[in-house]
Amino acid sequence: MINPVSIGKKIAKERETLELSQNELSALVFVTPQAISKWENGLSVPSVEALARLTKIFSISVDELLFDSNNKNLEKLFSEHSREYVVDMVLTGRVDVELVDSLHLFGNQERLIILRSLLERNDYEVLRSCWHLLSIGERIYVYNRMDSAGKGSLYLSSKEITILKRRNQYEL
Amino acid sequence: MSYKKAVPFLDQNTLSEVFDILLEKEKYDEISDIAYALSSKKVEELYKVYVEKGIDPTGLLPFVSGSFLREMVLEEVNKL
Repeated sequence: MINPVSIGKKIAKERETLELSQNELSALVFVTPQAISKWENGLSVPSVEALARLTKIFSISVDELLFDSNNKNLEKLFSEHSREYVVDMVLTGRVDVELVDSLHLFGNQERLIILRSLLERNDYEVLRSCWHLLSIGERIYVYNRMDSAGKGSLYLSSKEITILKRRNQYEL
Repeated sequence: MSYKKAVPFLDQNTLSEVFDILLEKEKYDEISDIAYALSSKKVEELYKVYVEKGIDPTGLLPFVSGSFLREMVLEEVNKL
């Protein structure tokens, strides 16, 4: 899957390089300034048409806009080593990647292994940064583990807690 | 009880069956609701259906693969 946060960061960086305001960029892409704000915060992804326009405005390639260099390194590792080995490298810090930018490159089982490891290490900062990228099933898993450790309320709005508690009747 | 609540806990085969039924019935709103749990291949299939039907597919983009999005954007860049 693609990473809205990574694309958003790239849009913000390129916009700032061109010294454009969100309003000015929105006029060039034919969208609202609110749309630009949502993209830059990773809350939504630009349409295919908007992405194409952005590559022209920023004078960058499609690959530069869609993929970040950290992930290119990770993808290279995946092509050279077994997936288990790469997951182990990430977990032991032997490869420099930001999980928030690369979590989407891992399969469901690998993500679960990573989340379990973060929980065991009490690495709540990383969990917090990745929270918006987790599936509902993963959030329930993390929430349950953190709730029992008395940390759940740090990460969920009261509305989310209500929704997740309602869904907790299903076992993972 | 709504099947949507069970979606995060269904395996891909079962989800695929749910997807096919909803697609056959043209229940696009309901498919969009479960898109997050579908495989990227299924979402890409859905993306093409949306385009054919004139439905805005942008909400599906977070769930497609990078290679699929890359191809779509490159196609669009060539039109500009």
